[in-house]
Amino acid sequence: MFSNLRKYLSLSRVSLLLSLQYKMNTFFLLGVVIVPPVAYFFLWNSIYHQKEIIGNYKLSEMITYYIIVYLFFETKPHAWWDIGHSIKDGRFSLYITKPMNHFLFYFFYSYSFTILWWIFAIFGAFFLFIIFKNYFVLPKILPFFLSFFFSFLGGILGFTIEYIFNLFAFWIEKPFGLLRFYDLLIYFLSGSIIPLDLLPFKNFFLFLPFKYLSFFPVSIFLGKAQNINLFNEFLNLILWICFFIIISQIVFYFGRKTYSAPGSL
Amino acid sequence: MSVIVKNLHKIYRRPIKEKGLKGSIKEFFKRKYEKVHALKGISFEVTRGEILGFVGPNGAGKTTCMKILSGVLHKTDGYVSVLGFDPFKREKEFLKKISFVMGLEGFLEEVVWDISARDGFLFIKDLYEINDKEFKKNFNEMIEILDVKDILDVPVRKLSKGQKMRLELIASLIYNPICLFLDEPTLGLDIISQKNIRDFIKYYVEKNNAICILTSHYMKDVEELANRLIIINKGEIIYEGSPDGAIEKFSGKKIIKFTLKNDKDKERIKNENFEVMTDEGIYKVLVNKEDVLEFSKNLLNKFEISDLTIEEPELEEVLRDVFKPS
Repeated sequence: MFSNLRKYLSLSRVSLLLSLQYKMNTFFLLGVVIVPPVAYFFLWNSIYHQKEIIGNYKLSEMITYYIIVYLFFETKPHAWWDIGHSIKDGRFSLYITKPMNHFLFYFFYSYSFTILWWIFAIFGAFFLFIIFKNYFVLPKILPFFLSFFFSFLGGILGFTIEYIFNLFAFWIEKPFGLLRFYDLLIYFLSGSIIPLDLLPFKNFFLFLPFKYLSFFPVSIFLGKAQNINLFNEFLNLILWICFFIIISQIVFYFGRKTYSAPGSL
Repeated sequence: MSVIVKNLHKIYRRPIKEKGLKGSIKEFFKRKYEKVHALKGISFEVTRGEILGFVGPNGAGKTTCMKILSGVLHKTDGYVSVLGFDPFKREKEFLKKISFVMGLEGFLEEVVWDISARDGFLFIKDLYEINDKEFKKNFNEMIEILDVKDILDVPVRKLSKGQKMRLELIASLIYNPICLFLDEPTLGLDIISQKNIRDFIKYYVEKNNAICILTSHYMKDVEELANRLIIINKGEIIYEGSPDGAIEKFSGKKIIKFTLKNDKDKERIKNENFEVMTDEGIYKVLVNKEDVLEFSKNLLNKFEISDLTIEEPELEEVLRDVFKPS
């Protein structure tokens, strides 16, 4: 068990070393961290012009919503498109001849990129807090930790669903369109574009598991989940994760049967 | 503890594309597929300590077979057992005992691309759960033999193909696998690198009493390494036995090698009605066994020859003849 975990942690180390290898790229992350939240601030400031509240969000809550989602909850481990592409070009063969779980390999490989991002995001959040002090809602200690805990679990869920979409490359000639569609769909259904409780048919969107990727953790952060039974939500989220992990393993098994290992790889 | 293959079949389908815009539009609505019977019931066995050379033209089914044996591809029918495991199940113990080296791209390069090989090897150590003592011992021995000490701290992508291949070999063998699948391990390498790799493979198999199945388009690899040879063509085994036996079976010919004394003869020989190959001033002609005496006599009569030998043809020449389009 420990040696199993050790191999994946070792992989995360490799992935982190790779990220640090690209100095300029890493440096520009600082810009990527700061510029969009500033844009969100100006956008929502003008939308709220002469309005006190939209839905049940005050301006400060709305700006905090977008900054927190953008900096911390939206950026989680990504299965990337590389899984799908590796299946198409045959590099997948390199991975399945190694004593490791393909799902965990990509999960840990991408987690270190996320950690690097979060380091920059903390600096970004600190900087943004200084300039938008009056527009920033600070949470209490418990909601703060709970929101990040749910976000972490939401990250596992999001990764699993994205992984499944990538595995469809076993059957689809070119997975590019599907993966692009997935990206946009998740962006919308997770509440990254607009808070889900502002949408029509909101009960439908809140029933779907995608709310755990962004909307639900940020609601806890903003103190808007006081009437929700968090333990039930926790169980619900765990069930969704188990469900999608099982689906991913089934898809992986049948996908491998159809895999043609193209090229001489 | 061996590799057993019985009546192995692999059928897969591949899309057929009609040419032009019209073809693409038709294909957009209804794609056509064809079935390819890549392996047609092949059977063989490889035991510990053996190096099996797997040769044949492109598309013969060599790599498909290796991919089934290493668990990459699913077989359509037949029985496959590698060290007592069903490869497709990908059991951890099985994966720790095999190594699949692909000449075109390696795992080390794929994963650590932009960082040093040394960091990559530390990951390989954890991946295969190698203890410190064993890792240190194997690592020191391999970097010495393959002479890679100076390149361990250079980002992998900055290395030459030969250097990368040597590092890939270390990454593929440092955990002491019992069964090696080597698919074109010397592809694209210069002669010196090819020789280094061959020597190392031979050394490793002997030292570990390992099983090795090797495919290569360079017959030198097969000639120097393989104890046994399987020739495969269009998914069927057409020969199994020793490399010398293959020459005996497929070549009803001998090779006559000679050198010409003067430049005038070098011009004249071009007009003769036999196919002649030249290699650094040595002329080679493939002649039917029964015609060897007559042909040599004529040659000596017509030209001023300084040296003449009659030899068995090399494996490469024999196979070129076997797979020549009719």
